[in-house]
Formats: sequence, structure tokens, C-alpha cells
Amino acid sequence: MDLHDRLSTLAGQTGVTSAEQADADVTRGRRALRRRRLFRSAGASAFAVAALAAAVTYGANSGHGSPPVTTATGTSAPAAVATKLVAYQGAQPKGFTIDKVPAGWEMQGVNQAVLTIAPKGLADKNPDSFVGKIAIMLQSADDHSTPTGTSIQVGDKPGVINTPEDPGNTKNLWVKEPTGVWLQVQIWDASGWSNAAIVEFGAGIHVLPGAVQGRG
Amino acid sequence: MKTERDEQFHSFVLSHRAALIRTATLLTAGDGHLAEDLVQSALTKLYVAWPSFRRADNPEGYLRRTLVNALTDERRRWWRRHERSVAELPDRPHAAGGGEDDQNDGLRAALRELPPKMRAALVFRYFYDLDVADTADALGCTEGTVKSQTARALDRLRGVLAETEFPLTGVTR
Repeated sequence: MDLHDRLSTLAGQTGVTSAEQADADVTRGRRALRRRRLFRSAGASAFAVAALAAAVTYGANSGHGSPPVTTATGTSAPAAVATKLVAYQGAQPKGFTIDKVPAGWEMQGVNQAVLTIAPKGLADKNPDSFVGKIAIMLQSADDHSTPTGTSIQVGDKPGVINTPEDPGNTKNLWVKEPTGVWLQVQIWDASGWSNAAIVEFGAGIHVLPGAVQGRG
Repeated sequence: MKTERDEQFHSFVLSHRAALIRTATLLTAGDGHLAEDLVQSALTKLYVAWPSFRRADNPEGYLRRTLVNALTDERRRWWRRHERSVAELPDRPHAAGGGEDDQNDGLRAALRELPPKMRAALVFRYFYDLDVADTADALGCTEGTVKSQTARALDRLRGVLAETEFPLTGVTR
């Protein structure tokens, strides 16, 4: 038996791939793609509407006089304190408007494609970097899946809160816009956020007709 | 709901996964668990870069490079992979028993003695019959490196297998 035959024997016989195995590969791929989209430069990516991510943590009674709880993010994201949601006073970004931001936070990147909000004084000033911030985006035009998770109501719109399968304390808020497109709000470290606080924050985000869905 | 990418990728996996497992089994010197990890890793990378893969002039070459890159990544964290208990592997036919098992053990042990890229060079040249240029493309190295790596790999294999009752035969290149 020559080397080729011996290698062939060692490689084993060709098995049959089941649909379940292929499904699992698709799931892993989708998860990796989502991670990649969130962390790469939004300007270079095919993504188009904004993203917000935050290292802020909220006390369960945020906004009711109790001090906030701040925890480490577990990543390079710096910890920050937000005592409550306050009215946003700055210029409104293209694509949508926002009513409230965490106190002590500022908008970093504003264009039709990207919006980042981060704690004032955050060393990472790159508006295309979402680590340690908050991220909001319209669902990709190529992604027609319906988010699943805890159903909630965000103002007069249906919504879902779910948690990515990846390790960490990230939570996603999905809000179904009247156009049928889903708006995604990702909180990088939501360990201290109550669902009520997430909904309050999300309810203050209004998608404008100029907002653009990404591709890919 | 599945996207167009999902559907295309799903079909690709159904038709190519089994062959990838065979290749990965050789690249990992017969380590079935590591081969499964390697294929999962390579397929994940492929899904993320699916548009590029679809546009590639040489999809087979692209696939080989992805697998080799995943091998490099997997080897970097092999210890972690082996520390945890690996989930149940999919059913897969095993090689025949008896004397072939002994031969396999010898070849497996000999392949394990080779550095991953040297082993990959051997697999692509002598199992897939790729020419030097295609092997160099898969490994991301020069053709000269492929020639020297495969020559050294064969020498090492001969050395290890000569001590067994199944010495290496039939290699003419």
C-alpha cells in the first residue's frame, strides 16, 4: 500500500453530512458575522444605520433617586457611571433623533450611517469603535430573520429583548418600526440594566425616513 | 428566516463538509476531535467571507487556504480544546480494523511528529496530488519552501515508519 492509499485509509470513509450539522454551521457563521459587523469599522462596513454601545450600568431604580450601580465591563471598555437618563441637548444625528441619553454621556459619531454615544472622557474617541459604548442599527437588508426573545412594548411599537449567544453581558433591544424594519439597540454591558430602563432608552430613539439599512 | 447567504452556505456545507472532515483529519494527524473543530472553524470563517469566496477565481484554492489558516489558529489554542470535554461527535464511518489499524497508528504517530505546515504540504502534494504551485498557494509560502518541506516530511516519515512493520513504500516523487 503506497502513501496515498495509507493517507486515504487514515482519513476515513466519507460520511454523510446531515441537515442538522449544516444548520449548526450556519448558526455559527451567522453569530460570527454579527460579531464582526458590530466590531469592525462601521464606515468600512456595509452597515448603514447607527450603532450605540455602552459600558454604563444602571441601578434597577435608576431615575428614582437611588444611586446607580457600576460594574466592570470585563473588557477593555472603561467603566462609566450614569445616574439617570437625561434629555439630549445636542444636535440630532442624521437618520433618527434621540430623546434621552445617559447623564454624562456624549455623542461620538454622527452621520447617516453611524451614531455612537459614549461616556464623556472615554479614551476611545473613535466613533467607529463600539466597545464600551451603546450601539443602535437598522437590521441589515439581507437579514430577514425575526428577532426572538422576551416580547415587550416600546411606546406604541412591538419589541423584543434578547441576549446574544456570545459570552458577556450584552443585551439587544429590537424595535419593529412602522416600515417593518427592525431597529436594534445593543447595550455592550447590560449587567445593571433593567428591561424597563432599556425600554425607556429605546423609546426615545426615533427612526427618520432618511435612515438607511445596511447590506450584507 | 434564512437569507440567500444562508441557503447557499447550507447547500455548500451539505456537499463539501464530509470531504473537509477527511482533509482535516489528515491535517491533524488523525485527531478526529481536532478535525471537527478545525472544520467548524474554517466553515465559520467561510460564512463570514462568503461574498469573497463566491467571487474567488479559484474557490478550491480559497477553501484550502481557509482550512490551513484555521489549522494554524486551532494549533495555537489546541491545549484549550483538549482541556474541555469535547461534545459528542457526529456519527462517521471508521476505517477498517485489523492490520489497517496498526498501519494507521504508525502513520498517525509519524504524522504527529511533523510540524503542521510540513504535514499539510505532504497531504496536499501526496494525497490530493496538487502541484507545487497550488500547494504553495494553500500554505501561503514559496514553491521552494514546499519542495524542501515535502522532502523533509518524507524523510521523517521514512525514518519513523522504517522502525515499524509497515515501512513507507510507493513514493516516487
